[in-house]
Amino acid sequence: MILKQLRLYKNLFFYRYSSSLSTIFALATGYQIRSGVAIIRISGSLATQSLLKLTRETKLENFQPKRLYLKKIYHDKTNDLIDQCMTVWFKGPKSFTGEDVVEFHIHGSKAVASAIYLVLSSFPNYRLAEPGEFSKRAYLNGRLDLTEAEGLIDLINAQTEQQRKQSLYQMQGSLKELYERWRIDLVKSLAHAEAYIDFHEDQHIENDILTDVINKVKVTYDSISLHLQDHRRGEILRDGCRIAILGAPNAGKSSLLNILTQKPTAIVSPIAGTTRDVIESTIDLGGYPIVLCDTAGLRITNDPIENEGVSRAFDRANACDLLIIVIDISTLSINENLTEQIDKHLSDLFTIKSSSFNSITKLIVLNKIDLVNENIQLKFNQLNVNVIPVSCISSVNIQEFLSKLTKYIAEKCTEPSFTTPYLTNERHRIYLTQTVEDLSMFLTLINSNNDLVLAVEYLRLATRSLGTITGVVYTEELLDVIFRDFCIGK
Amino acid sequence: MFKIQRYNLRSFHLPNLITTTHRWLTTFSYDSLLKLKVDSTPIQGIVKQPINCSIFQPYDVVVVGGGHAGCEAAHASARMGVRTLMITHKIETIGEMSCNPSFGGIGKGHLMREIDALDGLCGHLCDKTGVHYKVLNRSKGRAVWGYRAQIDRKLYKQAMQNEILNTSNLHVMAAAVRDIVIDKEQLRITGITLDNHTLIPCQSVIITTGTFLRGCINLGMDEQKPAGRINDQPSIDLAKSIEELEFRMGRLKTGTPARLETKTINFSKTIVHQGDNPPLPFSFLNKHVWIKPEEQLNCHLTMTTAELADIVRRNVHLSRHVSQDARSPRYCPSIESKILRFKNQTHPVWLEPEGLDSELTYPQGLSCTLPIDVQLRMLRTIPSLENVNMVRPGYGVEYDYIDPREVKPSLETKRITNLFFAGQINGTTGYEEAAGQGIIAGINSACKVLNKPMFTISRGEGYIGVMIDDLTLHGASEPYRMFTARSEYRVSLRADNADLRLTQAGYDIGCVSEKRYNQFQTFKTNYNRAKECLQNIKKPVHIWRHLLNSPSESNTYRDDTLKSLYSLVHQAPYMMDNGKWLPLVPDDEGIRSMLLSDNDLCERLCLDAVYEYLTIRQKNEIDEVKRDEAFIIPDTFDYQKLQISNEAKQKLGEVRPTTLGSASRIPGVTPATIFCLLRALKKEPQSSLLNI
Repeated sequence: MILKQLRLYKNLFFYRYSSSLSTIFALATGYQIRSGVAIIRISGSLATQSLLKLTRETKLENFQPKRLYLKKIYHDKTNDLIDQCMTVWFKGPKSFTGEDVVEFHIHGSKAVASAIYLVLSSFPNYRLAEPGEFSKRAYLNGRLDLTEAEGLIDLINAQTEQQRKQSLYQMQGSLKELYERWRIDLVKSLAHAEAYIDFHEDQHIENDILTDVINKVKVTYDSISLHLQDHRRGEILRDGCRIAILGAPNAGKSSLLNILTQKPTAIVSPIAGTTRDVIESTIDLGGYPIVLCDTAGLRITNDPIENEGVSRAFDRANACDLLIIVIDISTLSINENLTEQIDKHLSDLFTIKSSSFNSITKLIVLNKIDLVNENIQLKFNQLNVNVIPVSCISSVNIQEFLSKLTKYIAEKCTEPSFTTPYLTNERHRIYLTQTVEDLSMFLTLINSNNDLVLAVEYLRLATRSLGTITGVVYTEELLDVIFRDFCIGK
Repeated sequence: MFKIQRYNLRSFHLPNLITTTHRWLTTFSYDSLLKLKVDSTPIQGIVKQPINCSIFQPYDVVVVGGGHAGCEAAHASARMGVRTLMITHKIETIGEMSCNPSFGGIGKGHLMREIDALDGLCGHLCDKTGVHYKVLNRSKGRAVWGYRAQIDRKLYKQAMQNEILNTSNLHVMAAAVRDIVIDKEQLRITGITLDNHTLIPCQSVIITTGTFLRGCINLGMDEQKPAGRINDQPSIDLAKSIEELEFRMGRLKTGTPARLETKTINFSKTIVHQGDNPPLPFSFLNKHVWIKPEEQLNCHLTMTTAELADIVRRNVHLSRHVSQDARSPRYCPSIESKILRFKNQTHPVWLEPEGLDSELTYPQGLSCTLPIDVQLRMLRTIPSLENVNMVRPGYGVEYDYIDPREVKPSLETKRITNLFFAGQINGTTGYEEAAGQGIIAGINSACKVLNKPMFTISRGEGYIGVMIDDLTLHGASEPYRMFTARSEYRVSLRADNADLRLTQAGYDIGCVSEKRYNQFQTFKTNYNRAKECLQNIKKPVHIWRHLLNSPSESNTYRDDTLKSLYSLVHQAPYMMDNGKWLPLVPDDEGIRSMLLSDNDLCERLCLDAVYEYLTIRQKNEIDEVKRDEAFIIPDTFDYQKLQISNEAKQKLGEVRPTTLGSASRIPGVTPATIFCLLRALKKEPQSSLLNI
């Protein structure tokens, strides 16, 4: 009897404490990053998977716990390079949280952090940590004593408060209205779907209610997707628009940089390959913050240093919002079709590292028009709008170039107006992406005439993801809608 | 050893009784008293109400009430092996179905399957008393199938009484309970007294009085009389005595429609609904129900008319229910509220048979409290009821309920140790909701006597858990009914897997019989073997396509991804088509022949495959919930000493959650508050931390 009870207790205990929890991740260094280094912390039983997947290693034995390794990290699906960073892992229970913990010491840039967030949130059983969740796990696993915990409460309070303020700040006005409207729409759709499941048969809830739900969800799905495809306008506005200057050696990239920064930022010489590393400079153009990067001239070379410079140029260009490509006009034959020659020149340049930069907006600068004698103004009129001829040395057409550049940047960041609010928060982006994914699953499943409950489960998940941003949806709220909109008797 | 001491003697009026009581109390310990009396009484059946007896023989558990909660509670407690006494006003009304002649439905069917998985009564009994079996929601996915049946009232009551009166360790007594006797210092149950002042000592009491606590019937404006059900006395003394213990109470109302004479209904004007063929049983123990498919009775559907709406609107001032403020359910409104609240002029009315040899028909959807003459006029406007004869009018019942935030998830009250409330008294409505609470209260009252840990079901484990969690956290602002929408883990908590979720735990605590457990073990072994086998057969997708011979996609691209048969059996073209995939199962270990002979097993495997992806996703969350549920907040915990906002203190103080998990589900409680609470709990002695 007693033995049986003991076994029961043991089972209870064992079951409750050995259960697997989801793996959580977050920036351990706080979200407002404009720092040299930022740390992304991942904790949970599956944490080491991220280490292997991101670094493309196959064996965990290659990483000794508590040792820093310098690794390149890649997007696991597109294979794009994200960053080069220090990685370290701690084996549970000898870690901060008592679980397996992985840390990536990345460059303190929004772009890198966002990229890693997106990759991590796509892993199964991974989710963004709630405020204070690392500490909570540490505490639950006995890794903190009471005095340490004292301080943690203040910390969590502060974190929550900061997050509340931050999201309150962001949630004011149009953004808040927008999210709230989606939330209400989803709650209503979900409530109607639930009513259909629970009461359709004996209460004669009309069949077309489901068609209504599908149509409404489609509308919400479309508007959230559109909102997500804003090309990071809000974030660009906050963090600055990143522009890379690319081109063949000696096309005049550094001269252009110096014109833009209005000081001799980069060394300029007639020798091809003067710029070898990426030169970064921050400027203000027409009120927009801009991060300019001058890069090494793109060519195939045997010089290892120059080759590295070319690689870096490509990597940087990949992470940019806008590319300025400088072409020495004297390398083109003026009398033939310029547009075709420009296209050929670009594809020649990009194939050096087999890239295409298709998704990035390009502005093409035809430099050194002072070297061309003929009057080619007529020819220039036939060029595409994104091509502009200038001369950096004699400052011809520079003003036009600047105003065109400003226009492009303005398009990228577009002033947020009351009617078209933009996403400014990575956290929101993650939950909204999740919402959209789940909504799309709902729409696929419900149209394929599959199990209705299975489809509605995705609608529930979507509502919950959105609720994480705007406020949790409780069952009571759903029931209120159900009983307000339907006459349900037994 | 537990001794009877310090009785609250306020119900003993005669001085000589007090002296006798004292003699008993000082002379006997509980055990010797038990031994003395036990030898002379039968182990089951009816015991007579004592006459001129000051102290009756003691019991371990006393269940007050013989409704659906009471029956499950008493039977569960007796199954656990403790001496149980059920006290009810009349033996004849044990297991009475006071309202609709049906069991189950969407959400409710899930509750019944869970009760059955814990070896409860109602599912099993419905399998041998139903007259029309119909699974609702067949088109919407297995997770929300609603097992439902029209039940023959008379047969059900007989079957229930037969079961209750022939259960060992269970005695039944016809009497009215007057008072609960408690030890005032320890705030602990010591017994109950009957209306003739007899004291019955006991260790635990379960109150399952349904609508009988100060029940009051409304029929029109003039007729209002105290009654728990028509022709049955309410419990007024007991209500007072519960009130004196300072439980927060409220008032709710519900209603029941008129009963019609079947032969005066013109069924040709209705839409006929036939039962399922084959009818599916409720219980995991049964492969078939008792009735032949073709012998099932039909249900009929008709609609109310605009004329009825008109009559209701003109007479609504005569309905007491509408004019009062006691809250009625939003989802089972009287016809008056339906007409007043919603634009649509017509509402469905289901004409349900009351039994095989019953003369009566139950018009579901027409509950009302209008005066008798108006009810008849109203009924006769409905197509097919033009000449109907009303045998009994509809009426409303108003009754006291206890704020369910007064009870813990074990259904023990927070105020008085070993006192349990279960059923409609906790603000629920419906037989299945009552039965679900009954079985939990029954198990736990026995656990108390046996010094076992409390048996609770979490939100992630069952609908019973969802119901009790909702009630104990949010209270009942209206009568609580189960829907599938209430469960956040709907795809995991299905009717088909209730046994896998609960039977093992039920057996461990001692409420599941060896017979059921053996059957469950056999099933589980077969199930695991078959599942493992299906998961291990892996082939590239295009090979599977070829083997499964699906015409629609036979010539599509070559897909070399390795997939198991298990991951394919549920996919659209092959779904549930056993003929197609079964031949592909290897038979070297007898798995194919096992599957071929057990259609039920095949179906459950396919179902698990359908929901697999989402159930795995939910399992993590459920485990997280469980971990937080393991942190018990002691009953005496002082929230004032926490350094948290006053608002949070107020909320926590109001609800007094019993675990960290339930605290985190209170709306408005923040992560920081939970962390503070957790820290304070860690300071408490370790024993209070585990849910043991």
